[in-house]
Amino acid sequence: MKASDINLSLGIQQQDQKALAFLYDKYGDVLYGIAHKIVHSEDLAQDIVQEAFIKIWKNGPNYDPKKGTIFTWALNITRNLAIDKTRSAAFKKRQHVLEIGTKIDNTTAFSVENRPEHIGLKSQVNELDPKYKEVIDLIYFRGYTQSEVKELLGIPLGTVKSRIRIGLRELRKVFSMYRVPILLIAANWTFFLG
Amino acid sequence: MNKENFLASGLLEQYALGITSNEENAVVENYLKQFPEIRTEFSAMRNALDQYAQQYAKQPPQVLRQRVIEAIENEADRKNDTNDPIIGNASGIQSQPSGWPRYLVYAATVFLAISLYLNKQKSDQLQDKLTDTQTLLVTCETDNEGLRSNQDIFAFVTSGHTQQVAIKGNSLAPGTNLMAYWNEEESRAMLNTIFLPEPPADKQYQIWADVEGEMISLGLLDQEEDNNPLADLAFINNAESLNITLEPLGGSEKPTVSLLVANGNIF
Repeated sequence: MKASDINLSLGIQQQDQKALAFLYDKYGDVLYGIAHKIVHSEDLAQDIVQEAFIKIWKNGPNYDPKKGTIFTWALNITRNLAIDKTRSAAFKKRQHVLEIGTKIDNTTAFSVENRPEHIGLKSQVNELDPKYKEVIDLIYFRGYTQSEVKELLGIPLGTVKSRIRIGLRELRKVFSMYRVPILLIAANWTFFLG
Repeated sequence: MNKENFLASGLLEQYALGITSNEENAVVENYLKQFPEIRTEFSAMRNALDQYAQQYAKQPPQVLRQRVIEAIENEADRKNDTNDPIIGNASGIQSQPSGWPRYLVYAATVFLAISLYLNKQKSDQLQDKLTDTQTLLVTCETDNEGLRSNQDIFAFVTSGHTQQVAIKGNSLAPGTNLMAYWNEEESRAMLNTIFLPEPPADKQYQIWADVEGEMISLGLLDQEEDNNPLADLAFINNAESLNITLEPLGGSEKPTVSLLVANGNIF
């Protein structure tokens, strides 16, 4: 096999455009899916992914592997851009128009799955107690602060904090139970060319 | 906070979700640096979140890949263009056969450098002068104070209300001749002590006022402070005479009459 191992993070740090293309091929669907999950629009989700990749390319030299994997980093950039978008005036106006017809924010429902290997898992994650999932989703996908969650759900701050803790613990259990390939994480570090 | 308390605090979860403040980030990062167990815990948490995010994967339209790649290429081109803006401008717009604008730039740069250097020198000189002037001012103020003090003493000594009290030494201190200045109006007194002979090592001069037959101490005479010939002396009403005795170091409650060395009457 004529393949050369190249470190993905090194490629990103050196602003290697091939590394960016590889990152897209590997995680484009997750990044797009997350953007879509947050903004509920295919057009906007595409804009966000494009913006995210430009940002990843520009900030590549600042990426610090010690602080997390490339995937986490790229995911956070995309997530933050999407959350920022939902806070813009234009988005709020648009959302208001959409809300007349449909209730678009449903934090407990999953979007359509495209990865067959995750179908079994989906039902399992859905078993996560909605009260934990709700809190985590509000923070992770809507960019809420703890006090905003407290206000929205009308529960004490201490409860918000404990739900975050328990929710994350439950989430870990779900994934370890299903043994989602640890390779996914390892793969963040290396990719093949040629 | 120890390791267990930290893990129980929920701060790590909040950090993983990106909702911690800058101060909290610093705290968490400090724990991460210190404890490998906390690092393991944290990466398990983050992996769970990453995997959670992967549940939402959605196939983007085919065109998006090309869009993204082109956008990055554009960005990279733009960066290359702006990397050397001076050369770009100079060769594109300003290159003239004579090249005189370039010399103008050199000349201006040299001029600026010289000007900066001279400015710096001038500034240093001024700074030195300023320091000198400030020192002089301080000296002047000190001198002035001394002068004012002397003027005040002169005015006091020459005042019509000030009485001169000559204190003459007896056989124990022959030739001693001190002068005290006594002013009932101002309730103020001064004493010239420089003419007192050196007392024995274990003795000290003490001065007393005779008030209606009673000797009241006006204090010890400290000869250390002989810079100013005139020292302030405690004033007491209705004093009839001033008397100096030799007393043990630290002074006495009652005068040692046998060691009276000098006295003078206040009229």
